Amino acid sequence: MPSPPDRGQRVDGCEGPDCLERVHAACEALWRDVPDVDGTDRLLFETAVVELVGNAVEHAPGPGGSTVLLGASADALWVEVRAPGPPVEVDLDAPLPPDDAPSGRGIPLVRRTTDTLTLTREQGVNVWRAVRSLTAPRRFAGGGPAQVP
Amino acid sequence: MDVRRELPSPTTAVLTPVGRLTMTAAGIFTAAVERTLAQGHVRVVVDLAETTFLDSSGLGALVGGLRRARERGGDLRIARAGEQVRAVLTLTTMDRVLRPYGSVDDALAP
Repeated sequence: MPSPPDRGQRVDGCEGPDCLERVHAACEALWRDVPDVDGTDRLLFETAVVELVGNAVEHAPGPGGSTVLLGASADALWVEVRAPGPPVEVDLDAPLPPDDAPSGRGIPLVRRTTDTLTLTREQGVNVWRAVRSLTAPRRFAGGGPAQVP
Repeated sequence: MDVRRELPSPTTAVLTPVGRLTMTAAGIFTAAVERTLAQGHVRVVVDLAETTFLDSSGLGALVGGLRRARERGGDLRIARAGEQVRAVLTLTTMDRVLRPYGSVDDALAP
């Protein structure tokens, strides 16, 4: 099990497609905070994050919007998307759709860019969690106080 | 996101999405493709050199554009994709269908 995050970012009130811009900004802030994370790990993790947030704002637009938590630990990147609204049923093991399908690649893409993906229902909220293990552990992790929102 | 457009010939077009091609911008891109095809430019090259990020919605817009171009007897090809875009294409195995060309000229070649 990867170690828990010691650095993080948080986006509240995430509603509508425009929230993706805020999530990209949060990722950029996280990368500034953990410059020792490999570039490929960054771009694949951010790919997963955007898919999860896009899925949340598109399919479960609950009151108050979603909360997005991003974290980095010594050996992994973490994302949690808390999306209020009715329960969603998603096949996390869905295969890639046919080549000419315009949609259906989001969850398979998350599965291919992260090591674990879970969806749980907690106190009326759909909670998506994904973790990507780092290709190489961070060199400077744990050097200061934990800064996780 | 903006989509720049050049029309090298009466049947070809080069579309250049500038910025992130995600859920936010997929509709803008799809509209640009539709307009271009409707004007007879059925061989479309999408220059991705200035596309900094692609998600599954943006990929879906590319797939939809390819389908509509072929329905009109044309084609849609992509060129100059960056690392993140190439990763999305590879991980979804769509690089078999949307083969990334190294240059716009290569993609425009018959």
